[in-house]
Amino acid sequence: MNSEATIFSRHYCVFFEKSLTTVQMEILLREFMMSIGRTMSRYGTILGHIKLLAKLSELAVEHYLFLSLTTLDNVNVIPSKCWPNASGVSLDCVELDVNVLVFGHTMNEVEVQVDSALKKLGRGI
Amino acid sequence: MRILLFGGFLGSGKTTTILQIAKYLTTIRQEKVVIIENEIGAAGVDDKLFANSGLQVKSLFGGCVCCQITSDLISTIDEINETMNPDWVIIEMTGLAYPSKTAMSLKKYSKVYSAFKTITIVDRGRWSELIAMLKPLVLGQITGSDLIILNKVDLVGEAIEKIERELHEIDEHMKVVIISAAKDLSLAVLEEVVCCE
Repeated sequence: MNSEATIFSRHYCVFFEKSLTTVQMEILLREFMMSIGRTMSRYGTILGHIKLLAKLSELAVEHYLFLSLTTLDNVNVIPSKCWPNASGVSLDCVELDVNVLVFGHTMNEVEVQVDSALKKLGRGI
Repeated sequence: MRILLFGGFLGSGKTTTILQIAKYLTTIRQEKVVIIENEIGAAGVDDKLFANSGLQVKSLFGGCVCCQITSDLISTIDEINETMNPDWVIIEMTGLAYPSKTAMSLKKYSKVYSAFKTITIVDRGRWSELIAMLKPLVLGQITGSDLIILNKVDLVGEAIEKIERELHEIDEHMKVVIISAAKDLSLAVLEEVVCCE
């Protein structure tokens, strides 16, 4: 195995095809993490980590969800204080800081997986 | 000013553990804490978690403090001591760093602390895989630590006794505490971590 880790760290703004509630978005973000993790894992274990900070910039106060993944059975999710769970909140976009640090995968492989996961997220699938 | 230096592999639970330690020091012991967060990559993630918890954070980006930006770490500690004068500085290293290497540099070049401790977090859930695939890095992070925190014991993984045995094969005097940082840490664990001379 290559002894150097691949370090992928990028910022994105994703626009959703249909507006989402925060609950719907959290489900999609979990799937976003899993989608990257499934191809980056070795027997369910990621030799590194996948981290995501999702910020809601549309609202007056900045809220965020922090997600991390190291094993496929467990997406860890930490919301910011007063994270809006109300179903009335309607979101058209989200800002993402995506951080993938992994051994055993090239930068190109990580980029392809993140791009694919971003497209699915935007389409709401 | 006392320094706690936290290391451990990517995703081992450093940030989650430090959050609990820092909250204990600030809320229960009413002591002043500043966190130095070292992250690789352009977009910082962990520093937001600390800031959102009302903790004071200094971010160090652009490389790893154990090998690329050691001098930045030392000057940041000096600056924090002069301008903020906290009781504690907690340093979170990147998951690729070797804590003992940084500890050596700090002990040699920094004169502003009264006590110092190196703590490495070990991920129980991935122990076997990480040892199998990345043994030099994982063992390098553990070697020379004052305390090992065996984290994620609530998750499926290698037998805890086996990991403890393997840790003690590296250093028979190694102090190991067992936790799940996803839950509230006990007072005994919190006191053990901050017991610093």
